[in-house]
Amino acid sequence: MNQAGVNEKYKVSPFYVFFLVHGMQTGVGVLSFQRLLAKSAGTDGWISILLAGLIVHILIWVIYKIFSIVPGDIISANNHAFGKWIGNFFSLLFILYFLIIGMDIMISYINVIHVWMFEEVASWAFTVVFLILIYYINTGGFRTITGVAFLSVILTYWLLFVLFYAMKYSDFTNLLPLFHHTLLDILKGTRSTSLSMLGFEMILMFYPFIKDAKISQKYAHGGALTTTLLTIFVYLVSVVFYSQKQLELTIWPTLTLTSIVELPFIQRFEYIDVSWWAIVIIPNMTIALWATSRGFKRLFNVKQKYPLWGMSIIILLTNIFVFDVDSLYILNKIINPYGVLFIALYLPLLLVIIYIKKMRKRK
Amino acid sequence: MKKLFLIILTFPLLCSCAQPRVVDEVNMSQAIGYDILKSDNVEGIFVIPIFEQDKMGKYQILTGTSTTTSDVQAVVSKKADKPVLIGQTRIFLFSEKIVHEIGMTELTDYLYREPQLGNRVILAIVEGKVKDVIYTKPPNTNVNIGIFLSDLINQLNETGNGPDTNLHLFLGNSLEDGGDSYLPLLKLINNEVAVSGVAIFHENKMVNKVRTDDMFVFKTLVQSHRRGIYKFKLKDKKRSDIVVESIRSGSNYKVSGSERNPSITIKIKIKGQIKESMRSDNLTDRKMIKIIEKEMEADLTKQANRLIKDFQKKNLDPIGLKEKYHAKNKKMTYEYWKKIYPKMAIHVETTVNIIQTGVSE
Amino acid sequence: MFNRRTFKKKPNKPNEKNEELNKVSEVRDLFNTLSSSNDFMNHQGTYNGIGYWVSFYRSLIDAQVLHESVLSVIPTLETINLEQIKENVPIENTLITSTKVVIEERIMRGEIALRLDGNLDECLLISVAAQQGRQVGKPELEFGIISAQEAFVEDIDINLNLVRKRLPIPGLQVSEKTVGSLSKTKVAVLSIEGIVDQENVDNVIQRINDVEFDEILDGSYLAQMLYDNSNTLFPLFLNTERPDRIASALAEGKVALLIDRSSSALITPTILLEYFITMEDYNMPWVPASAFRLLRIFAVAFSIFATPIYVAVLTYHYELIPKDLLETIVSSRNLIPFQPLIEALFLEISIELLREAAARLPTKVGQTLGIVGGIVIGQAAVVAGLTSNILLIIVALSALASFVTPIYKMGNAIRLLRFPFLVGAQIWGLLGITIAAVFLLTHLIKLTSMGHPYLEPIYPFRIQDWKDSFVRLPFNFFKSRPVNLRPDDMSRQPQPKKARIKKNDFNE
Repeated sequence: MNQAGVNEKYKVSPFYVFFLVHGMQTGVGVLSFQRLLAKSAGTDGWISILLAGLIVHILIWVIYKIFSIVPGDIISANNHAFGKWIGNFFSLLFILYFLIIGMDIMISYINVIHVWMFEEVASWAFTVVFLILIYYINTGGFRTITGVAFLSVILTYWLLFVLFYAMKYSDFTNLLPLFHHTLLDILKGTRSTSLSMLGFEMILMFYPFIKDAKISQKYAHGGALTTTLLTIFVYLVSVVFYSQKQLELTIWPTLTLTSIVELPFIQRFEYIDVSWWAIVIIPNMTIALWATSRGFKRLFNVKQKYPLWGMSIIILLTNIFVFDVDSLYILNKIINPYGVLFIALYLPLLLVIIYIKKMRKRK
Repeated sequence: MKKLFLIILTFPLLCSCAQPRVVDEVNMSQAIGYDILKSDNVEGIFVIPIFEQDKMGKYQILTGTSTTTSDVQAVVSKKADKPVLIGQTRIFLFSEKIVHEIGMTELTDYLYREPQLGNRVILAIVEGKVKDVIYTKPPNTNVNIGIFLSDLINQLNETGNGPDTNLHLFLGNSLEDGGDSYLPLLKLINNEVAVSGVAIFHENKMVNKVRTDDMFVFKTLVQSHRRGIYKFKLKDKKRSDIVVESIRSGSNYKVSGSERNPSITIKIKIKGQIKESMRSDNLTDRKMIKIIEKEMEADLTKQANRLIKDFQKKNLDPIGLKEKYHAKNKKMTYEYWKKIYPKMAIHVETTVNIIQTGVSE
Repeated sequence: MFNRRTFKKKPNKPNEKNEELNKVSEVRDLFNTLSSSNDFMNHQGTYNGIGYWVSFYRSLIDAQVLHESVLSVIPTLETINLEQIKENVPIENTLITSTKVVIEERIMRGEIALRLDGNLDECLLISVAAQQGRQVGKPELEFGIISAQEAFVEDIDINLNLVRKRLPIPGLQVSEKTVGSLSKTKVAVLSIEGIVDQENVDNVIQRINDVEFDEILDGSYLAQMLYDNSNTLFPLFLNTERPDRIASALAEGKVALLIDRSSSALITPTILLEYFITMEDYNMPWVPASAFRLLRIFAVAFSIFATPIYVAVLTYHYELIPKDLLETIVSSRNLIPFQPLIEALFLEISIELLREAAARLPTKVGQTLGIVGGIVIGQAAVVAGLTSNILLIIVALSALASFVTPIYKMGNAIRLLRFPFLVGAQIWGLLGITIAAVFLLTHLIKLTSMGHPYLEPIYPFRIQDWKDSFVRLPFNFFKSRPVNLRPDDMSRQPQPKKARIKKNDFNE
């Protein structure tokens, strides 16, 4: 049970939870969430994002509540609630979920590279390079992973200027009319933003790696809040930049928006954007795969590098043999709705069970 | 063992280099024109610069025909020594005829889908044959005809009466219900290419033209201005010409009225300076300037009303009044709009403020 | 001083246990072996009927001192025995011993052994070592225009003196070690007690003790053996020849190492940004100092990324080139038969060659070669159509930019870093550059110097340490020492007793 205990030396300050959560949430989702959201909620999409953000905040609260009763990670919480066998089963589901998230992020990004830059390069080549990089980061331990996530957030925020630049070509009447969608539309919109909101659940794995983990809760909420605000900002700019029909047609509105930027020394900016996005994507993949391999390590008591190798081979094989837009579609379908529902329903349930157990013990 | 594995891994990676597109080993088209032939085939005309040291502005023109616009690129590549790429294209020219026969949505689908093209590409419609325009020698021999045309339209948009256009702005309007949008018109006059007005689109087809004289008013209605030039005649005995350069302009829309008789008020504000006055009156006199302001306001309102009436009659909405109306009335549908628009009361109020009269009296 | 003595006594002890006879033959043996070298002198003299032997290495001692202070003293004495000579010789630190190890070591350091015929096993050791070596001169590698013009020389005592003059406090602790089984190099570990984190000092001493290498000829040898991670391009210990840099590092709570026979001292633990700091930054007002520091950091980024970006854009991303630049770039590349990568490598390697050659050649020739070679080869390559002149400008500028780092070794690292980025640019264009950059970032995050993170204060993010990193804030911000070093005494300035009243209000 005490395997979750981590040496104080390898822990990171609670302050970095902000970057871990915010960085993990912002990824490929931000490039493409607008289209589906615009289809269902149109100009009222920001309400959907706000709603999604609210749910994320509640779930973060739930996670911290769980860990305030059972310190450790999700695996020890599962075991605590359901005992060894059923607990391990649920832990395995979580691990699988993390793996799928990691795979989805990678395939989505490779898809972006294929469409925007190098359609001729085989996807396995990108996969190999990313996996080597991920392995290299992983060998530095969680401290290095945090560092990469932290720097990735710091180093990519300048890209926001693109959004301000795009306002020059915007029509602000596109924002109006307000509130002309039904609640159902808005809820549908909330569902379609989930991919750009996921990522906070990695706290379930890295919680034991945080110094004074309890006070990190405010940073986790801060990270989620920043993501929500950023997503709303990106959405609002997209709405004023594109007309409704155009937005529904554009697969990567954030990237297409970038192509309006013209600087005196750079004619087209989206190529820089796509390349720079690697800095955002790499820590995302790393954290997801780290969480998976750490889960395996905790469950089966193996050295962390073996599951990491195993996963790398699985991902590589997937990319060699079944890579196409369909596999991406299937992965997205698994994550949304099944993965999302799993996270959103299971975590409160876990809290309730743990809470009941605690009450019983007290009696 | 592990190191050996890594080394083995690197070899296939080195082979997975992307396909190089070295700048001097490709033909970068800078302008592309599309025209339709009698056989319903699309003819593409590519302007490709030839870069040579100490010799600027050399270019070649390659043409090819195919049934679709995107396929023309492949056809043209077959005739060239290096592959033809479109990433540096600044301007696309379409003839009136091809727009009429194929339709703008179909023509622009390829442009929007292609990641090599940016959102800033300029689209323009040519009156007459595209070939004639592209084969014209530009007066500035340092640039090729493609750069010349895109510069021409750009400078007119920035400092003249041309409304701002590019692929993004055009698609934003034309993909909406109704597809009301506009593009600059080019025409060959006396072997010189010039902007000859604005083409107005409705439901995928080009339906109207705004002539150069009305471009100032049109631009004022559509977007704000810097340095547009407006010429009008004073209504006194001499009918003298006054030229005003607008320093800044802005338009404001006010949607009012019930559902039964909706009305829109367009308020135009122009700050300008007098460029030229063909009369000997003293312009430092505030009274005289007030008169000029009043007359210009009246003239502008008249022109704007005429334009809008014309648009209403043909059920065109390049100004984007539909969105303004929709912003106030949530329940509006396109069918409803089509019904009310021609009968809608649209008022134009103009305020002209002349703030400078130049350095002489 | 204390340390040195304990050090010498240690090997002494086991010998004392040995039998007397055994020891006797040992000392004689020693002199016999030493005599086999031709520059070892055994001078025999007699005074008052007592014969004496003076043995020394001719090449190690100062003959004038020998005559004036030792040999001329003997005739003034009434009787000679070692004790008496010892008292009368005007040289400190003499010793009478019959221990072989000590005798051998001291003779090798330039002392003479004086023996009397009566007991050839007992030696009086007098130091008359020749003080050969250059005078304290101007810094060559870290030259500063408006900073002090003193640099370390190859003598540890002079170097120590240079440091002590700058820190005349008893807290400055020096502990000396000897490393290298052949070179017997003296290493002094300097730190200020009460400021430095003692753990750092202990770690350094521990690592020095663990060094088992026969020959340590320079500080850089030792530095590489003490690194946390030897597979890195980056220097983890800062090499410097400036005593003021050492003094300021000590004052911050760092540990310094002085190495005998080496003009460069080492500072540890260090952070990456420290390598872009010159001592002049502190001599200037903070605004220009910060501006120049930012310029240096920009230059390094330029030096690493300029050529790879050129290769990436020209090979893959022709869309990026603005239309006004297109003509210039393409027409300059028109006749060039190679891909941009080959072109860039050709130029980069020729510039590296020039640099390497200029460093090896005698100064006068080197200068001519540097200028003439650069112009002639560059121009010829452009005319011959091997490279484009735009690339020539970029490569020359980035070579120039790599020289701005005040620490030479960092400049070397930056020179080499460019090449992996070039390969990345050739494989996947800008994406390749980004991926290489993430590799570099990860490497930097993983690096530690004496167990302290190398990328501090960027990661771990410590706002207090930003005062002296990318910019140098005014001195009133320098209230505390770097948190990174965990010094025992944090505060650099006492808290002002009363808040300074700002009296401006437009001068009332």
